[in-house]
Amino acid sequence: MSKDKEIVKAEQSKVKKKSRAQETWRRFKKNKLAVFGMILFFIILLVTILADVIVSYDVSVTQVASERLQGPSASHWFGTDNYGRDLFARIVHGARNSLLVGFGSVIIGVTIGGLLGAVCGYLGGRFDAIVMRILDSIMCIPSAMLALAIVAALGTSLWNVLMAMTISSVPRYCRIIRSSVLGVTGQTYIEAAHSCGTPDFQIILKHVLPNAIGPIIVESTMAVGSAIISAAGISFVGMGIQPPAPEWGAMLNEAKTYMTMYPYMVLFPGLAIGFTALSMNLMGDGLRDALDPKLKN
Amino acid sequence: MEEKKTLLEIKDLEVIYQTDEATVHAVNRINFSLNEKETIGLVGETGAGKTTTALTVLRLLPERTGRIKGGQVLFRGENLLDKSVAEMRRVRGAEISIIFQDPMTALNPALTVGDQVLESLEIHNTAGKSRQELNARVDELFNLVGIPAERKTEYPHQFSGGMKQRIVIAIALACAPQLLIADEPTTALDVTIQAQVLKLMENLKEELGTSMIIITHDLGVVAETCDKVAIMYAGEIVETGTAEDIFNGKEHHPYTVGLFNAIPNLDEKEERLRPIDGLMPDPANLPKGCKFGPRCPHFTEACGIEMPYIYKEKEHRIMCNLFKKEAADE
Repeated sequence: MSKDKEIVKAEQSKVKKKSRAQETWRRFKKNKLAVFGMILFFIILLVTILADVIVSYDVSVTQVASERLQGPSASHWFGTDNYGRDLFARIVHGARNSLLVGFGSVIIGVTIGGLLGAVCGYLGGRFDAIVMRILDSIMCIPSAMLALAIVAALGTSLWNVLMAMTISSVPRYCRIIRSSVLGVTGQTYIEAAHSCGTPDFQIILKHVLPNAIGPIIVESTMAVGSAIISAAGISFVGMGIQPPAPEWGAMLNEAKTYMTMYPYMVLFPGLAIGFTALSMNLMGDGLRDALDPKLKN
Repeated sequence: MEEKKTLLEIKDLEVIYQTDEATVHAVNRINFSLNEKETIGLVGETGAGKTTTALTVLRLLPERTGRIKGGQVLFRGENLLDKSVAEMRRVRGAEISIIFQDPMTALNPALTVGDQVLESLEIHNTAGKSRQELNARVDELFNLVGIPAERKTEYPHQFSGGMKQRIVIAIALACAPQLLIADEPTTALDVTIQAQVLKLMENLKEELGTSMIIITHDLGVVAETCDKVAIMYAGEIVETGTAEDIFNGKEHHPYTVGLFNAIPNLDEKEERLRPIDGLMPDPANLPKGCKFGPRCPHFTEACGIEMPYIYKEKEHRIMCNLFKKEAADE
């Protein structure tokens, strides 16, 4: 009998767990713009994953001299570039590199910067002072210069670009998180957690970060777009993704020379970056609201 | 009569807050003890050192400024001040827990209340209980404090103040501590809810056999709940005794008399309440001798020179020179 009860209880709690996710989804759904952003993002993601199914990689790198600089048409949806490569294929296949650098650098940067910032803000004192001064000195160097220097030192590859972008973005995330953590650590519930004997790292993960994460969600969703563009800058000076491999930012830079005559060459990669950033911003906004228990309605 | 075991004994405890500008003498050599299953009320006005005393017991003083200058906090015979940080962590929540003044801010807004109750259980889960057992205990605790267990998946903002305080109490009681410190548990609540919460705490105390330290400036709360009372003034315990001694005893410290005069009495018709003249002394710059001296109607020269006489009768202690004379007269 009592076992039956326990099973029923366990099932109930399972149902409850599910309903919390449903609750978040329900609130997310209400925000039409956020849903639009999400659909857009899923389309981009789908295109990235199914790139090889949509169009062969060879098409994106094959130079056809007879088809140089053609405008959008039925055979070349987005036109061709100055080497006669199909822009549609390049955008589809470039998504993989661009998104990898964009998301990769933001995710790794936010994780490292966030944890570091949380620990600094929470512990304060000497540790905080030392870490912050180190980060300050990193911040002194313009992030593009720093990233270039790192890539130059480590050699050109996609992973090094990713790493360089991550390192140059960590100080900013660290500062953002630290300042919101400082506001949270003064709260009574942190002291209350102490009084329950909660270990420090658990206080940081369970009590401090969930309450301090708001600003960083918005910041990081916006940063994805700019990370793609910064990666393009690195590619432009020849230290990023090596041509002929397609990448949105690099495409923009290649197209720069032909911009006045053939504007579609910048339009399509630009739109690709723009829509990715837009989808992230809309989704991030909606997600933050849906996850915030205080705005529940 | 059964011999009562001492649970907590505070000896000559002295705590200061050290800042660049000043040294604040928050607690000055206080002594009191608490037996098992007893409740003591720490009474005094704002800044008397009540909360500091409570935080010292749990070693939760602000790290950069708070310093324990001397004394001992003996909990079941062990000095808590000698314990390492890790040992202290095992004491907090499991053996001694605290209820904070304001339930509105004492709960984490980003976690469900059930998770917050569960957390304390998980941390002190030395018996290696399964998740299901712990969850069952959470339900039990919610029932104990009179909240339907189904509401454990809700967030703090979905509860009223009184219910939040019940949840805070549930967290504090999660591991069945031997000592519960309640730091002004009812101050932030309105009067009807105050009565409910006090009643709940009283019932729980009887059911679970927990000792309690209730910190308050409400003598009504003390009268209702406490076995012993310690009246604090400027970091000192100026009078201590059983609730009987304080509320019905003949001899009182002038400060205690002042406190009682400041309570409205429904039976007597009085135009105005009589507050105690003057202000609490600046704890960074305490007067010499009796700290209450400058506000005391019975002030004599001797009071301003050295520490006052301590009057003793059974458990009743009063720190005042008034009773020295009487002792000399006899």
